[in-house]
Amino acid sequence: MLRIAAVGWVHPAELLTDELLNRAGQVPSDAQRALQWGMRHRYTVASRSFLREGGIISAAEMKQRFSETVDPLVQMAVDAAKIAIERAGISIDDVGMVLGDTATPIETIPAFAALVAGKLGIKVPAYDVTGITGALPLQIENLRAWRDEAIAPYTLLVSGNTPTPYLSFAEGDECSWILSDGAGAAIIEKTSDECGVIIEGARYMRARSEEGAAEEIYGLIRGGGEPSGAALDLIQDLSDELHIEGVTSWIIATPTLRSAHAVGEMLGGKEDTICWCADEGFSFGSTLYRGAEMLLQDTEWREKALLCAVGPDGGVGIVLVRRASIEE
Amino acid sequence: MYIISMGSAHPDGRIDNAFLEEINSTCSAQWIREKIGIESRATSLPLDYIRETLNSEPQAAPSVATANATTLGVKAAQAALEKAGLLPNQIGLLICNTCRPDYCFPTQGQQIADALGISGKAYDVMSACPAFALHMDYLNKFRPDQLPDYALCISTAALTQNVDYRDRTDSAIWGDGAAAWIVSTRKEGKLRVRETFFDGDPLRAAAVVVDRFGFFHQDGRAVRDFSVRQTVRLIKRLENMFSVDWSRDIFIGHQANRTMLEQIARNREVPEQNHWHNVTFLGNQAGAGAPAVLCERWEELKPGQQVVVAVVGAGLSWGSVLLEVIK
Repeated sequence: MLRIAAVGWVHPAELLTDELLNRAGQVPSDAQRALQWGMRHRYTVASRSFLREGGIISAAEMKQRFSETVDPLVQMAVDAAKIAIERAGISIDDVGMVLGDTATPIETIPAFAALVAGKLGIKVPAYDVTGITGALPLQIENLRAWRDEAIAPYTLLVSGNTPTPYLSFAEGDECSWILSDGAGAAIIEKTSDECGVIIEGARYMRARSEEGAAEEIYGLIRGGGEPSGAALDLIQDLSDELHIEGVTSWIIATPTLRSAHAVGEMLGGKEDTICWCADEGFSFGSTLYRGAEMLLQDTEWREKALLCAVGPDGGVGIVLVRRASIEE
Repeated sequence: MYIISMGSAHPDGRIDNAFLEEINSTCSAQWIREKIGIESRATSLPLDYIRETLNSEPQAAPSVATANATTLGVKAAQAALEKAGLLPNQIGLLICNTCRPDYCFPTQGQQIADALGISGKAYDVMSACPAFALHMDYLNKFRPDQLPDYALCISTAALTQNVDYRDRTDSAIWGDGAAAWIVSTRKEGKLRVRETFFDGDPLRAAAVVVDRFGFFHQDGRAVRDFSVRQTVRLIKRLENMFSVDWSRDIFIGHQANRTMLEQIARNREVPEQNHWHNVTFLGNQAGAGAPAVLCERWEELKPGQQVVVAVVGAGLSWGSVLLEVIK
């Protein structure tokens, strides 16, 4: 049996507000913002000069932009991991494996997991199992499918994403209203105790790639912000496989408020039981970690909850959890 | 768990030592032969382009390249599918490793799956050069009933596009290529997996890096020492656990460079004919190298033989697979 022992989520200090985006060249109406995107703000690792210029306009400039920041992607993931480790009440030496995920690597090798584990000082197997928006469900689904002896007592899952430097704000692409930078980490504990947040099931799938947003290795992030119809169909299929009866909370990581309500209601949620965890921006696989953090901190939640992610990249995943007991 | 079939793919272009000597005055064919033992490398870059630019702007390379991680991966996978007599829709899981994807998202695995028409799960499982051991160990962790009938593993990279050809060492090492292999827990194949192992030391993660917007770079001497020592340890571990007979069994290492591989083979007293490699004429193809060797020599495998694959690389990470030829 596996449980989510703890979660950490961090974001950069710099806010990416509607006002800043408007100054950078994007002018959607107030109604569009409220109804469609619904975000309060986003976060960015990029500097103010980057925003003034409307975002990156050529691949050559990206390298320059990154030199203005201090290894933000790995550092955020390390910070999130430290929070998760501390909240789990374990030490770094207890972590037996690190699985990573990023959609925005600054180094394509080594694995993002190895970079994070190295900075944490953890000497264990560390590699990437990359599912972009569906990363957390994918990695949990894998752990649940492994032989018992193959699972470490504590596995650190970590996802970090810094998409904002790969956006051209001046072009008014939907993605630039939606995407945000952040990192999340979770400690998954192998346990025989009926205690804490127990994982009942997890499923991951992906829609065909041409139906979603994309990021070339040297290019900008392109494509629409909303999940495709194919991705929405997949989420229904996955929930059917998991038998989600009895769920009382729906934590939804989708790029927009509108799609969160569509997904939540499709899965049986009601307006007051659906919680959208991208209200501070959508950062692919890291977003659902914020939802998991919100869930674990919610002392009112008693029964089953569904963590659900559907991204513009076509990644889809769900994690069904139940609270076995309230820890003092 | 069995390996049912394998495929590999390399671009047609070749960079030989005379070419490297021609484009870089500090580079000598004799030095490369003595220190690295590589004669030529597969490349997706036109030689005229390398001669004119020395690939000083790696971001321009994809626009002139004849192949990339996706096209190489697709070719290798198609070869593996054809040998197995399988259709793409029979693949229930595709996992992919790459040192430099064509896109950061969708994942490299998704792109190859879509190009092949595979509708099942597809994602990346990545730790650079020890990909063969990582993928086999990763699949070996699953309870057999949790895996589909057929899983397709791919390692692909076109790293010559990230080489600075002003650097005599890096330019002498890298080649492009892809390898694919089909794994099943239910259908018996030619190779039975006896044991898998994967480990790492992330404290040395910065020793080998491919900068997304720049070049490959590594701490050369430290990595070479690590590679030799760690590969020898991996082989010794298997020798201690299983009955390995080097008069019969085969060793395949990470195709980093030939002199390093020969040093390892000498240490373990592996006779030349049982040490299989392709680095001499294709270069270091990262995670594709070792499985590509196995693929090339597939027809030579004899029942009763064992194959020791011991691979190392960025992360730092390392792993081994012990295979037994059963038919």
